[in-house]
Amino acid sequence: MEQKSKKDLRINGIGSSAGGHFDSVQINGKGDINGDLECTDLEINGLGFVRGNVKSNRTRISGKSTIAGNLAGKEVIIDGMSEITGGLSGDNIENRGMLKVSKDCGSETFTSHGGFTIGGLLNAGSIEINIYGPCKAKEVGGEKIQIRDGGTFGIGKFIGSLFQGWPLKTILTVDTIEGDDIYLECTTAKIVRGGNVKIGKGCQIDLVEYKNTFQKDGFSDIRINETRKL
Amino acid sequence: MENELISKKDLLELTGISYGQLYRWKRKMLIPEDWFIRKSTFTGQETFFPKEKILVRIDKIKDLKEDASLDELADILSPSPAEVEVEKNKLLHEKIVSEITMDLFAQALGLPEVFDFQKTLYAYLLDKMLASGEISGEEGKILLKTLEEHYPDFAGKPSELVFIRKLGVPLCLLISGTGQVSLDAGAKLVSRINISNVIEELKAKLADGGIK
Repeated sequence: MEQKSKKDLRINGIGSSAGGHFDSVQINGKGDINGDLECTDLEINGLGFVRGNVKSNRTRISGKSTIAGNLAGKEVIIDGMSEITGGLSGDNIENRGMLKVSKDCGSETFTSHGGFTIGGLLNAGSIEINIYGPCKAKEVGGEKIQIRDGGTFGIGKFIGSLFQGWPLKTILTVDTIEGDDIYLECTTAKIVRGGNVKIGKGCQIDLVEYKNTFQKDGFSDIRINETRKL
Repeated sequence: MENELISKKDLLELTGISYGQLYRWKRKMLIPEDWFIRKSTFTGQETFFPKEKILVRIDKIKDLKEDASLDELADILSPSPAEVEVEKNKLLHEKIVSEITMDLFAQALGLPEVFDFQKTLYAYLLDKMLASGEISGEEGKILLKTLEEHYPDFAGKPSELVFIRKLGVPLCLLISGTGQVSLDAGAKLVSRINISNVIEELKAKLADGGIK
């Protein structure tokens, strides 16, 4: 007999599950899922730990979550903190918190208003990063890449005047950036390669290679060691 | 040389595609992950590709992308079997498999009314080898039986089909991956076929015939 419909999984308080196929999965509180998870909706509003791969159409993480595996989905929104020990893939990835991915991260659009660490390649059709915290990736590749300084919050500036080393260094550190249209601010990179490259404030780049156009804003804190036209 | 590498930069220059396209194709899994070979150079790490394979693949993608979406392309190019069911007559009609092959298939494995993808693949492989005159009909049956018995273990993984003859005795091997094969002096390597490539070919043919 065919099953009528998939069940929901809801953990309110403290609970655990072995994983499996669900329609909607919600964790409010603290939840452990000890296995692979496949669902339509995944929402984690507290503390979530998944020991396995996750496949979910819509994923929203508002609390803190650790996924010991890969996360694949269409819509992925991270408002809190999330650590993924495998790879992350989706159509739209939106990060408004702290995202840590150990392997590659791929999607059609990737937007970030926070900080992230990506151990492998960040690969997206359109990449829009507003730096509000430390951002790190090994490689960045895509069609349109825009990286902007998010600015420091007022309170952050105030605390910064009291303590040294605060705010956290809000730059993007990356080995290579490759794309068709690139605009960079506050980026430290070894190599930037692209069709149209524009470099804004706060960039430290060893080598820029461009095919069509190259532009540099007139800020004094830009350092580019070498520029080559291909 | 088969293992010649090409750097990403040279590749883009040679083929006229952009970084964005290359990354998009990678994302859509049109280019297999293990073709991206990282090597240290004096400018830091660079990515290289197996030259021959990547050039063929990019030509193919450029060719096909006019009439297929990237997602469809990914299906065609992936080594995993497609979900296809084809009627026997359709295979004959579209000239994917010849009459003679079909007869052999019937003798070796019985004749199903509807061919699933794997059976189609077996028949197509046999057809290819018969057409090239490399093997005889009797040997074809051995081939079919080997495939029927063992190919399911390899499905979805890159594999090769190797056909050897020694003193007139045929021997059929299935190898996972693309390793090196060495033979003793008396043996003759009749044919060696990369099954992943054949799957691509077959998928493209099926798509052309309006079957998929």
